[in-house]
Amino acid sequence: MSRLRIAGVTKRFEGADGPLTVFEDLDLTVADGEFVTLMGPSGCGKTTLLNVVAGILEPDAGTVEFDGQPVDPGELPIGYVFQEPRLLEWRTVGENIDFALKAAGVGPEERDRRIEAWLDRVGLGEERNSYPKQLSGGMRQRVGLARALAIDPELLLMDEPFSSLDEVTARGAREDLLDLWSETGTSVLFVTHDVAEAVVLSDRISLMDENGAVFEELVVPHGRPRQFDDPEIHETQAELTRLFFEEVE
Amino acid sequence: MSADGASRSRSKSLPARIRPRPATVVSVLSVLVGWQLLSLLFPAYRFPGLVALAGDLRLVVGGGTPFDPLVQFGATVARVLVGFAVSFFLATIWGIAMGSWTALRGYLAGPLFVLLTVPSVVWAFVGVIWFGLTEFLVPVFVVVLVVFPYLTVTIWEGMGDIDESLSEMARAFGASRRAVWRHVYLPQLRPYLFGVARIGLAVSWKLCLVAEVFGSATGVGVAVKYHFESFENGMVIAWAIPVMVLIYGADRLLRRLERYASRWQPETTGVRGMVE
Repeated sequence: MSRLRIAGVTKRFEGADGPLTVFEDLDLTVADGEFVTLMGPSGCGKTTLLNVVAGILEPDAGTVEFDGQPVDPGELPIGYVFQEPRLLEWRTVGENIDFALKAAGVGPEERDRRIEAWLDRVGLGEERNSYPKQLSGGMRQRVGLARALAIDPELLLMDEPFSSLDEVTARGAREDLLDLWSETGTSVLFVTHDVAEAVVLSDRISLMDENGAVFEELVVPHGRPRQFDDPEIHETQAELTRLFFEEVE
Repeated sequence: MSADGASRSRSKSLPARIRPRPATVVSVLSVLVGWQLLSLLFPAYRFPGLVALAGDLRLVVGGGTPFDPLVQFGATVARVLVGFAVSFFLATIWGIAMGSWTALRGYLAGPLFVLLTVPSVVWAFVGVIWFGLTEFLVPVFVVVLVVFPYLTVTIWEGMGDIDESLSEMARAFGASRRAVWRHVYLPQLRPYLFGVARIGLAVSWKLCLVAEVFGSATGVGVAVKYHFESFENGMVIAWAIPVMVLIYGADRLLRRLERYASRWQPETTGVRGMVE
């Protein structure tokens, strides 16, 4: 059964020159424990779709089903990792995670335990009482990841989380993410415009064009763990790039 | 153990705060010297020197004038505090409402901009005509009607600076309204609230005096008016000095609180931040 099923979802914004349709009648599924990537050019509506799933935006039509049940996305325990860390700079690293845990209704002792455990897990065990401004960009992004995973989410949404990191840091972060994902078995809906990243991380990739329509779905044919420099992976990346640019350009 | 920890953290930050900076000392000294030099050019009743002023100040504080210092200072300070508190409260509600509800904004902005243009003396006269000479009502009325519109505009601006991406984050994690206000909105408004408090207090005191001159039988303003009518310039100034000192102290206190509240903004960012 699909963990997440988006069926016939449409989203429009009221623009200055009439309504602007971001995407129309969009379908997408994420199976239990699956890592699905939505790839598309900038401005195609990937972030908007994540925001609909997260309950930040209301869809104009269509349903979001979870484990086969239509749900109000606002009710779901969803972890969201944004493109920028989006941390509360006036709260410590620990308090930032606490904010999400409290919102998820986790009790005080359990909150404390999870903050400790997740900070350790992302290598920031020493930084619980630091303020975000005292951390580097990569560390802040890891706090964002710890915050999203600490609530024990049914679904993890990730919106180009590594795009603002330098390549060395980003590569480390991707490896860490894969480790965490295989340990927790969380279902992931990941958004990127980076072909190489999509192939290395995903079980399945949906390609979106500039008009917000999914035009191709690709199951990544490689087993795990994957080597970032594996020539076969490079081949898939080249194939995907070709597919993508044929449609988008 | 905890006392040890507390004293250690205090000894790290206190001395730097208490020690006046050389620039402050130099600027205060040059004002005093400049004052004294200027006073030599005028007769004492028009521009008193520092020694004469100190004498007048002693008279004021010691009760050597027709006015009881405790009664006058007490009345003025109470009016300033009440007027300021009401203004701050009104401005916070009004400013946040204007920032939160687009539909209300037009209705709330109109009266605000009209209020901003009314001169304080007009309010003072209007207040006296409406309420007569009163202990509290006229001075507080003038302070509130003049001060609160300024504070409101600033708080409204602060609402405009709230980072929407953080509000989205809070919504994505399902935070309650209360949690969002407490952890997301208010911390972002805090610098504006502190700024408004500091300006509001200083302006309230200035306006309170104007209102007292016109519409009250007690307070520093009344004493100032009395000495003005008898051409005692030194006494006019001497009456103002104690409240000036008080307001300055309150401003310092607010600044210190503000620094404490923004301790998350490290003055020297961690080394890792700089390396990045």
